[in-house]
Amino acid sequence: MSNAHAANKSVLWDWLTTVDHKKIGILYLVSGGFFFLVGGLEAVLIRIQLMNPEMTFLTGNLYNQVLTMHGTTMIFLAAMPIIFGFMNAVVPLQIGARDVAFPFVNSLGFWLFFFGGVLLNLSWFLGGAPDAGWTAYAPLSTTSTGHGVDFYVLGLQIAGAGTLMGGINFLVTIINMRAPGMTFMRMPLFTWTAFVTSGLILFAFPALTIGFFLLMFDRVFEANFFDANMGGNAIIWEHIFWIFGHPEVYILILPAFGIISEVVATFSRKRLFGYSAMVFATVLIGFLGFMVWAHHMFTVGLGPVANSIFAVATMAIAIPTGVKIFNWVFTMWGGKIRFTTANLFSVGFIPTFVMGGVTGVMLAAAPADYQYHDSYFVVAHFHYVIVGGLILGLFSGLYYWYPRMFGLMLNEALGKWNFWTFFIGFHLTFFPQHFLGLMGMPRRYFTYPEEFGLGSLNFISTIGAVFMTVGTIIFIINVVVTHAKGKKVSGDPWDGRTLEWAIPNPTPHYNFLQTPLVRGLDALWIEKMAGNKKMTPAEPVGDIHMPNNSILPLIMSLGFFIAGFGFIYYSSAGAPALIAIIVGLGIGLACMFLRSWIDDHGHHLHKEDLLKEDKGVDA
Amino acid sequence: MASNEQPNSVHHHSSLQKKIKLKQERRQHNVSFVMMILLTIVAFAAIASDAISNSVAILFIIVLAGVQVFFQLYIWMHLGHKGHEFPMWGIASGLLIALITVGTLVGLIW
Repeated sequence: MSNAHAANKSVLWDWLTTVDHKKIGILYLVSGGFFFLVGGLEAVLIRIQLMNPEMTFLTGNLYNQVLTMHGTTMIFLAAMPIIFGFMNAVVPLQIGARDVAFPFVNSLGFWLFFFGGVLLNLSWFLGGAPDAGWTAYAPLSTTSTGHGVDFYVLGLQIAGAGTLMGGINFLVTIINMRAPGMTFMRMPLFTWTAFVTSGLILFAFPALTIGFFLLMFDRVFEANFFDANMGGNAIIWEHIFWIFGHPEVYILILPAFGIISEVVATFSRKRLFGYSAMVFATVLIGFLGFMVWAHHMFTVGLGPVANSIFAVATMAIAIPTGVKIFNWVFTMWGGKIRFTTANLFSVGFIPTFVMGGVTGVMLAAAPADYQYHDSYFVVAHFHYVIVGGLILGLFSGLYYWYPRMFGLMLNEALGKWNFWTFFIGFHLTFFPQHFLGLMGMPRRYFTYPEEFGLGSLNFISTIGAVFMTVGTIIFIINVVVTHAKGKKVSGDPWDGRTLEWAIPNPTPHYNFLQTPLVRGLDALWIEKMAGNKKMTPAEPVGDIHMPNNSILPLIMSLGFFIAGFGFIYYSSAGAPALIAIIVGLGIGLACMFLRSWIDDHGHHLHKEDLLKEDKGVDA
Repeated sequence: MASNEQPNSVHHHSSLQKKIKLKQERRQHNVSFVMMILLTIVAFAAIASDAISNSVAILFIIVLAGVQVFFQLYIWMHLGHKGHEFPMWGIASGLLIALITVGTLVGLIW
């Protein structure tokens, strides 16, 4: 088996069957980006409806559907996959590995997410989207008519299984596949955050899986887990959802912290300040993230003791987060700062995230939360941490790693337009929402009467949303321009510090011809300072073992997609739905059987071919 | 097997040690396999018969389940062997988080 074998097949087939972490990273990024645009469109629709008092642009149940799908799409189908895109594209390179630990599972994780996302969004065309909010609180979700919430449960269940696989895969990869010399305390901070995030996924997603199963049984098979009349308890859903949901927000933000740490250090030409404190803070945030879920439920009536405990635990998270903020500022202090677009997004992130953090501590005070709860103050808070935190971080990562992922540099002039329109638009949209909340505007309502005096701030907020839209469109134009006539760059365009910049451009599909020897934190920078042009290899050039491509992950995911349809329509369609369930699960099981039965040992790239190829790259 | 034995005494000694260890391990496997079947039968019997009350039976089978987990992890998945520090850490932190979460949840609801 050699490269020639793969080259015979078409490009499309190659992408559908790929197990290469770099290609899967791009797949995650593109599909996550697509869902980001869908979720963004829904956000714009919401802002148009709320632009003026008593608008009738998008009312009642349709508004509920758009609102629900905006939240659900952004969290599960946009933010998470883009994070996984970066983890795939960067983590194996940063630790000096040739692929992730389980390339097949990696591909399966992507296709499960993709089909889950498609299933959820098909609800728009099949009788209406879910309308019970992204949190799907019972009994609203259990009594919601139509099949919208069924699409929510099954779509996210399938996508969630993919996420869980991805998390396990990265845990194993980071533990087992680090290059010689790459000890834990020499790992780049993005790898550290990917590691902790994967751990959070491993522990948090099972709670969601169980919650979805219970909700599915309530809806599809007439169980009564959340029906108080039948001895169930609706509050259990809230607990289960937030036992997942709070770690989820740290799953989202930690990789952004990692990106910021890489970008700020690179563009300050300085080692990250307080590396070990940063690592410790990351782990501590991850751990504390599991102890605070009930702060979403202060007004449920848990009692003053429980509320106080959760309030204190929540405020405690501000400490490691503060450590991180100070360390970024100290990294920049005295550094030789370059304000590239990537760094602009990172520097913009810091004060924005601090503002989101401050309102977070305000909300953590349980008595005050009775006032803020379910108001636009909360909406402002979580958009400050998710958009102002995560999305700015993701943009920063995109501009930073684009040369690594695609071999092209995004246009810096357009990039700066992108940053300023998006950044200003963001604050214009969400800053007034703090005051709207304090003035008493409740979240999730589709309109407000004129005499409440909420009109002008809402109008400003909508103008901000237009700016953010413009920023996003500029970004798309930037991508198109870059791919149309962007210039190819070297493997190390930013004067990078970490291993991913030690590779020529475009990245060879085996990543490292020779596994590098890591001699400290910022491995590449150490070699540069020692006057070496290349990483010191840890092994002689030899045959490289690579995994084979496989179409099975796609077919297996398609099977579960079909079964998902069956479960969604089981309560109304009966027999045909049952057939879909049996056929779909049958396809899934058959693929599992084939995967177990057929030995697939991968293939070897031979030393002679590798040396020839390597010379070609250098010349 | 006699034909495989080497004249080199050092090598011979180490291979003999390996053999003894393997034999010990095989015995452990056999014993635990039989034990696990027996424990399962006992657990089933405890629930099937009316001789003991339900609450006692439930406690009893939880204890049996704990023993089964031990067999599974240590005998069959070799958790006691060297190089299993990460799985140990993973299991320990998972248990810690699960205990705190479930404990708090139960405390809050009932």
